[in-house]
Parts: sequence; structure tokens; C-alpha cells
Amino acid sequence: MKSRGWLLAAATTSFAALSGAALGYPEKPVVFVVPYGPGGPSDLGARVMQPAFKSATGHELVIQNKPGAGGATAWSQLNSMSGDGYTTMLTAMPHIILQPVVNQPSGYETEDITIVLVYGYLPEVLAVPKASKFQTVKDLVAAAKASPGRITIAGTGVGGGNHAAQALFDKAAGVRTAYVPFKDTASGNAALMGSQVDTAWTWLSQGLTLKDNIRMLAVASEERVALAPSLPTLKELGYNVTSGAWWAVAVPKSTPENLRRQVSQTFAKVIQDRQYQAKMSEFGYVTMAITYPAVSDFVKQKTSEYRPIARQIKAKK
Amino acid sequence: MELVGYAAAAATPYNLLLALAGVTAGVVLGALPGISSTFAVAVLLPTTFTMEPVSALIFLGAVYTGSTYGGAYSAILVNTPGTPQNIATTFDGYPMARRGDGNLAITLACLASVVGGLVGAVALWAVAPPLARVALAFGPIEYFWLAVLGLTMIASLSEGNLLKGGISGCLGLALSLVGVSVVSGDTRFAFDSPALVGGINLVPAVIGLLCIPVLIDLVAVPQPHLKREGSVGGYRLREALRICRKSWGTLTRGSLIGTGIGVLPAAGGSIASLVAYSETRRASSRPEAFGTGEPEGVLSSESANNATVGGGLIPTFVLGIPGTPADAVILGALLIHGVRTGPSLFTERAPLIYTFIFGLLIATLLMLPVGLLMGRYAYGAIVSISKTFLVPLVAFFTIIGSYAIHNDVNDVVVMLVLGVFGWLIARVGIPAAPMVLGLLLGPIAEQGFGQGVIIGTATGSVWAQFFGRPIALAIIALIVVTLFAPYVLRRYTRRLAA
Repeated sequence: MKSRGWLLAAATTSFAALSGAALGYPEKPVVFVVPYGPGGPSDLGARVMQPAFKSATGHELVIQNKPGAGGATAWSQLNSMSGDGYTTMLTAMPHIILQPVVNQPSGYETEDITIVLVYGYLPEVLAVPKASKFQTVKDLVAAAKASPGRITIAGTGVGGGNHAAQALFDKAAGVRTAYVPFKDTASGNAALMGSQVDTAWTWLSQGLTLKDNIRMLAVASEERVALAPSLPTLKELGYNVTSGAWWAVAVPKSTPENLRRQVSQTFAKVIQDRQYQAKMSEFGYVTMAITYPAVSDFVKQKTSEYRPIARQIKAKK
Repeated sequence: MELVGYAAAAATPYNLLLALAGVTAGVVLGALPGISSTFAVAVLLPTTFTMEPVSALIFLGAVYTGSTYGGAYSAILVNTPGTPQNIATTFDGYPMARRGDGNLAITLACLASVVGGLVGAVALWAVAPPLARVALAFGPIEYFWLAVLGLTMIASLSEGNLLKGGISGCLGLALSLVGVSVVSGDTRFAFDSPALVGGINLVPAVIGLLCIPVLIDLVAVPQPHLKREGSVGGYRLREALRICRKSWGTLTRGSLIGTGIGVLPAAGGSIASLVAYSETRRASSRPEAFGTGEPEGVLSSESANNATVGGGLIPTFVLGIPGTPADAVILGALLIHGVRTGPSLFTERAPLIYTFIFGLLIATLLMLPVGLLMGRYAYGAIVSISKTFLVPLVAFFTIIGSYAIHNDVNDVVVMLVLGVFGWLIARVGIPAAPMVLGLLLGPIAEQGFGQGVIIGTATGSVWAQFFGRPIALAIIALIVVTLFAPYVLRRYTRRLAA
């Protein structure tokens, strides 16, 4: 009985090895570390990806939440994890560009993070409570110019995407607003809905789901978004501001070159799943695939774009 | 007539089975330290992708309510809250178990959880939109004062020595400062260690502070873990029902506080149960019995935490803002199923919402048989197991639990260090409970204060922000009453006696 069990195990192992040789990566479940708690926008996106990963690769995508310090806890531990291709981590830009400058010491440098795939983009929106007297961006800018530093604007954390958008917009519009950081997107949105603050920088996904209680004034994307076609972009209103969050898959630095490519290709294939894309676009996310090694140029470009803003935020603190 | 239809839709065999499975899974997961309700609901979320939206909601709601009750098992039997919502349950639940009343405490927790769960669910049904508006009236200032009100509970958790309790509370506040500050972005007291950048996490700290001293004492003394001789066996349901009938005021208070605090997006079941516990103690005619195994302590905490399930769903459904961390996952499930939240949910999607509420009521009622049965086995196992097995087993779970919450070995280190520290300060009579309170409320107070100052500076007057808002003033009045009423009353009665 015992030897038969052993034989069976040996047979399964060799079969796994065979099929592994045929299919390559992955041969077993892949861990995807989410640097935020369960239920947030990033975590949800990852959980919607789970069934798509299973059907594309035949293996599970295992989500591990490792929240803390706006993502810094997980990102600072990335390179101490195993570089075997089975440990991957969700990464967000511009967060990993801003944090090392703004929150010193944040435990990591932007260059420490090896990104192998950019897979999604979520635009930011400028929003006001439904009852607000501000109907347009122009109203808001006029009020901010009339009383500098008096308009309060909510966002998530210090040195996150919302903070960057606030800094960018203030500069482009030539105004000074009071940024009020909240611990997460939900609490900032609740403060906006209750008119505790005048306005907020938040994500398109939030603007769409909360539209009973808040009004979006403009979106900070290059072009208008399909889900809210009447919403103007800041660019067309004359403010040269584009901002948002880019989601990426990162691996530990020790991951060998060929595995980095395989991880990148595998996730790129997973996000082609039709149901995944349908769900994501319903939420307001743009699915995109910038694969390894081309993605390095994208990261460099974003770094040079956001680093001056990071220094500006740091100087104002 | 419509209601009958919703009730029938909720009671299909499939939905009943899901409610039963959800409650059972929830109780088991909740009882394991480190597996929070949020974690339990998140792990089971992908299994609901293929279900009908209403079935998915019923299942997740059942898991949530089940885990909130299940956490009471470990709180009562080994002084380790299974979920953060059960922290206050340890204060009297564990002393009850020590003296041989563990089965009674578990039965009381079950009854209180069912009552609280029902009250929360009925509130969700009847008064969701107006309560959600109240949640929006709570700004940073109100959260600051609410946290200060919570901190006044240090006095009631100090077991007679206010100075030592105060020291413990301040230690907790100091620990809550570690890591990146939300409002300023500065990294504090991290000593260049990446492990501390994210701060001290609540769950490993609570496991360490409350459970490790128990484990050390178990090894240090020869007596069995829980007293057995002379104690009554069975469920002791009749006895528990008698206590509940006598303490209906406590159950009502706990359920209402739980519902109300559940509605507030920045406070959850852990704060609700602590506030309910302290209010019950304050209203009691024998406050000195609390902390020594007072059944009302268990009733207040357990009714409040299960009431936050329904209460927390109110802002989740009406506003799209999660009331508690686990509600964030449930909100995600709604989004994934293409259900848009908002006040219109209760009219346009009435069949979905009301069928779900019936499902939640059914799941809550199912918790009675499921909870009593599983509680009996949990108690039986812990009572009969030899200490040589119990200690390593519980020690194993403290480590697994601390690791599981964020998949981080550093959390295990934090748990062990704080555990030994908690044992050491107990030697000199400093209780650990106020420290937990400081750690829990510190961030809420600090963020509310920082945001309040920024908003106050921008609008022209910081003083008007902190002392000029009606809800804030009401909370300040409560703080004054809580702090000074006992002294005033004592003087008054002394004068009467003289």
C-alpha cells in the first residue's frame, strides 16, 4: 500500500515535470502580493483576475494581502522574496515614484522595484459634493484664486496619486489649495459626500459608483472616458494635467531574465480574458499591456515626469 | 405581500444551504486567531463570482456574521480574540471560563450575537437611508472626539488603579505612532527598519498582549487551564436565557450602540464592542464586578459586534462607502456583480436588497443552533485537552494567526515581543487592555486631529472646528459625563449618608 502510494506520487511528479516542460511557466500556483487590504480597488482588480489566471494557465493565482504605509511595507520587502517567478507583486505608479522622495525613509527606492508588466490605468477625477456651489472647474479655480489656501481638497494619503494630482493641478491653474490626507479612498470619499471638505481628488471608479452624492468636474486623462462621455478632460479645459494610477506586476530583483519575460507574457495573456476586461472597464479601468523589457522605458518616463512633483510636495511639507 | 415574496426568495433550499454553509465557515474561520472577518469574507469572495448576486450576498453576509460570533470562542477559552471585534469579550469571557463557566459564556455570546445581529439587520431594513445621512455628518472632528470618548474607557479598564491603567493606555498610544503618518507623511519611530514602516498592526499586537501572558502563566502554574470540578456541563441554555431576560437592557444597549457605530465608516466592530462594554459597565449597579467574569460584559460586547454587521451594511448600500473593513469586500462583491449602490438601491433593486436582508436574518437565526453546537465542541475540546497539548497548540495558533493576517514574519516578532512585554508589565500590576485601546483608537484620534487642524486653518478658525459643531459638542458632553459623573455621584451619596 505504502509503496503503491509512493509510485503514484512519483508518477504524478514526472507527469507534472513533463507537462511543465511542454507548457513552461507556470507549473504551480503563482503568488500575487497585493500591498493593500482586502476590498480596495487594487485588491478587487486582483480578485477579478483570479478566475482569468486559472483559465489561461490552469493554475491558481494566490492573493496575499500585505498592507501598510500606503504600500511601502510590501514594496520594501519585494527584493527579499524568492526570485523563482512564483512570487509577484502588485505595484502602483506614481506611488512607487513619490513615496521614496516624500516619505523618507520609506524603506525602498523606485529603482529597487523590477516591473515586468503594466496592466491597467485608472484615471483621476476632480469631484465636489452633489450640493456644492461649484458647477465647473472654472468656478472652483475662481474661488481658489479669490481666497488662496481656503479651498480644502481631500485625497488618499501623503505622496499618493491624489496628492500628485493636487500638486499638478495647483501648479497648472496657478492656485493654492489645502490638501487634506485621508487614510484610504473610502474615508476621503465619505468626507467629500458629507461636505466636510470642498472638493477631492479621487479615482474615476469612485466618481462613477458614487455619482448619487458627488459630482465630477473633470477627468485627468488624455482623452474623454467612454463611461462618462460628457465629462471634460482637464487638458481640453486648458489645464495641462494628466494623472492617474498605473497598475503593474513586479518581481523580486533576483528573478532571472528569462523568467521575467515569462511572467510578463503570462500576465499579459491573462488580462486578455474577455470577462476580466468587461468587468474592469465597467469599473472605469483601462486594460493595457506594456510588457518586459519595453516596460522599463515606460517606468523611466513616468519617473522623470513625477520626480519633480515629488520634490515639490516634499518641499511644501 | 411583496415581503412574503422576498422572504420566500430568501428561503429557497439553495439560499438556505448557502446561509448555513456561510455561518458554519464563518464560525470556524472567526474562531481562529488572525483570521479576521475581512480575511474570511475576502478568501471566500471568488467562490461567489458564479452565483446570482442575491445568493452571493447571503453567503458573504452569513460568513461575516458567523465569523464575528466565532471569534468569541477563542476570546472566552484562551483570552485571544478570534477577530478584533471580540477584544471586549475577553475581559469577562475569559474570567468566566477560568472559574468553570466557559460553556455558559459561549451560550451567552451566542444568544447576544443573535439578538445583536437581528437588531442590526432590522435597522438595515427599516432606517437605512436616514442613518446613512448621520454617517455623513461625522467629519474628522467628530471622529477625533469619538476616539477621545473611547479613550476615557481606560478608566473603566484600569481595574482599580487609574495611574497604572493610564500608563498602559499611553504606551498603546505611543505604539500607534510608529510608522508612516497618514496626515504628515513622516516616518516615525521606525529606526530605519522596513518592518516598522507600516506601523504596529493591531491583530498581532492584540494576540501578543492578551494571549502570550496566559500561555506563560499556564506553564508557570500547576493548576489546569480552566476549572472543571464543580462546574455544570451541557449548554446551560436555560440559565443563559434567564440571564438574558434579566439583562435585556444590556442587550438592547449593546445592539443599538453596535448598529450606530457600525454605520460610521471609520469605526468598526472592535470599537463598537468596546464602547458597548464600557457603557454597560458605567450603567451597571455593580461596576466592580466587570473584568472578573460578569456575564453582562460578554452580552454587551457580543451583541454590539454582531449588530455592526447590519449597521455597517447601511452606508455600504446607501452611500457606497463601507461601514467596516469586511464591508469593503462585500461592496466589491456588489461591484463585481454589477450592482450599483446608492439610495435608489432600496427602490430600484428592492427585490435584491430585501431578499438579502431576509437571508441575513435567516443566517443570523441559524447561528443559534450552529453556534451552540460548535461552541459545545470547542469548549469540550479545550477543557478536556491536557495542558501539555493545549499550550503548544495555542502557541502554534498565535504564530500562525499573527503571520496570516498580513503574511508577514515581522508581525510574529511584534506579537512575541509585545507578549513578553505584556507579561512583564502584568507583574507590576499594569493591565494590558488599556494598551490595546490606545493602539486601536490612537490613529483615529490622530488623523481626525490632523485633518481637523488643516481644515480649521483653511476655513479660518481651528477653535470653531473643534468646539463649534453640534455633534462634536454632544460627544464632548458625553466625555465630561463619563469622566466626572462617578466622582460627583460618589460625593453626593456620601453626603446623603452623612
